[in-house]
Amino acid sequence: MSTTPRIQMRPLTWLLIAVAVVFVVIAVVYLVTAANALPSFFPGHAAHVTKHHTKHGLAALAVAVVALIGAWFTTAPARATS
Amino acid sequence: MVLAAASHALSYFQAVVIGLLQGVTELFPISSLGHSVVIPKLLGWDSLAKAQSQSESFYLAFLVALHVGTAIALLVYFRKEWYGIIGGFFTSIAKRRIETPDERLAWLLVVATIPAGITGLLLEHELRTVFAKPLAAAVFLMVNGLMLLAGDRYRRRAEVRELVRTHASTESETEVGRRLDTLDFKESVAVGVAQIGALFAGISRSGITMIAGLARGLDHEDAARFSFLLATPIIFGAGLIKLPDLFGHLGNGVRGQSLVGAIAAAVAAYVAVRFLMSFFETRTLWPFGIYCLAFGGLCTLLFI
Repeated sequence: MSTTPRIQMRPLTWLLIAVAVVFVVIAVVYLVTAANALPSFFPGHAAHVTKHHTKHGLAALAVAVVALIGAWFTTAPARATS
Repeated sequence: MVLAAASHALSYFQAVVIGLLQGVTELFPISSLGHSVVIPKLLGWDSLAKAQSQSESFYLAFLVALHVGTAIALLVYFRKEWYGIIGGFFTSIAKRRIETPDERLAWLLVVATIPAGITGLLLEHELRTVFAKPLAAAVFLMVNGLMLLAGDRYRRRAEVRELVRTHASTESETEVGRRLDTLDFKESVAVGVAQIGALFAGISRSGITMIAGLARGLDHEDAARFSFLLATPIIFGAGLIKLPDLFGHLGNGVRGQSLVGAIAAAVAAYVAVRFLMSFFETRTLWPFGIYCLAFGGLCTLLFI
């Protein structure tokens, strides 16, 4: 007797998890690094500014959460067709 | 010294007036940000008008409290809807499927909140410091008026009527509209993107999202309901993120006024949302469009 797995990992699931991980890393960088110490390719990098871009970090975290929830939805088993 | 300066800059009377103004104008489609820039200037409260476009000021800390007050009033008025929406959000995650109208509405709101939420986090400060000035706000109020009038006209076009015809619909005394839970996610994103316009002082968040909802075939009442539900997390989130301003040095000398202003804003917002939900059962955006054009035009002439 074959059973459908309760969690199906599809390519899109892995892609969304990867996106979430990347954005969590970006969020952490924004939250712990001052603007002058950010990598130069990061939006918000400014050589003479010592404040943290907390809002950028929160925005990145929001994207990560959405991507994770999206990944979770993609793991649903396919509907049985009648 | 700073405390004394701040408390002199904002009296309790001003706090009540601005609180009432914020509560009403946040929900009427006439731009709260625009009015909070223009009205202090008209009343001769120049220090308050100037404080809006500064990168840091006691007035911004005060506005945080007003936003939280307005959001609480919206949560109380739509408490039954929010109970269903929050329940729907979690049950859909548990099931990994979106099946009921509440689950669908929860995700329509999430999807529509993302564009303005992220744009607001990244650009609100820059846009406010550039555009939250009396003359710019007055011009954008006129633009808002034109958009409200154009949006109402667009609702009567054949393609919108076709959208209503091809979806499950609701019928009121004066209007047939598409049911709110028949919106698809692309349409919800479009409403959310429209909300970005409200970052400009003078463009109304509720107005622009109502227009976007009307353009997708909702009737005026459901467009207003979706707009107010959509506004709640954004207003609440914006308030919460800036709450440290109120409890930090910017809030010195204005915390009492902020509490009084927040209560005034909450009461005004509750009355306003009750009025508007009843108003839009039978009426349209025209009066607000005309008002914005006239008031924006008058203020533009005064401030030039």
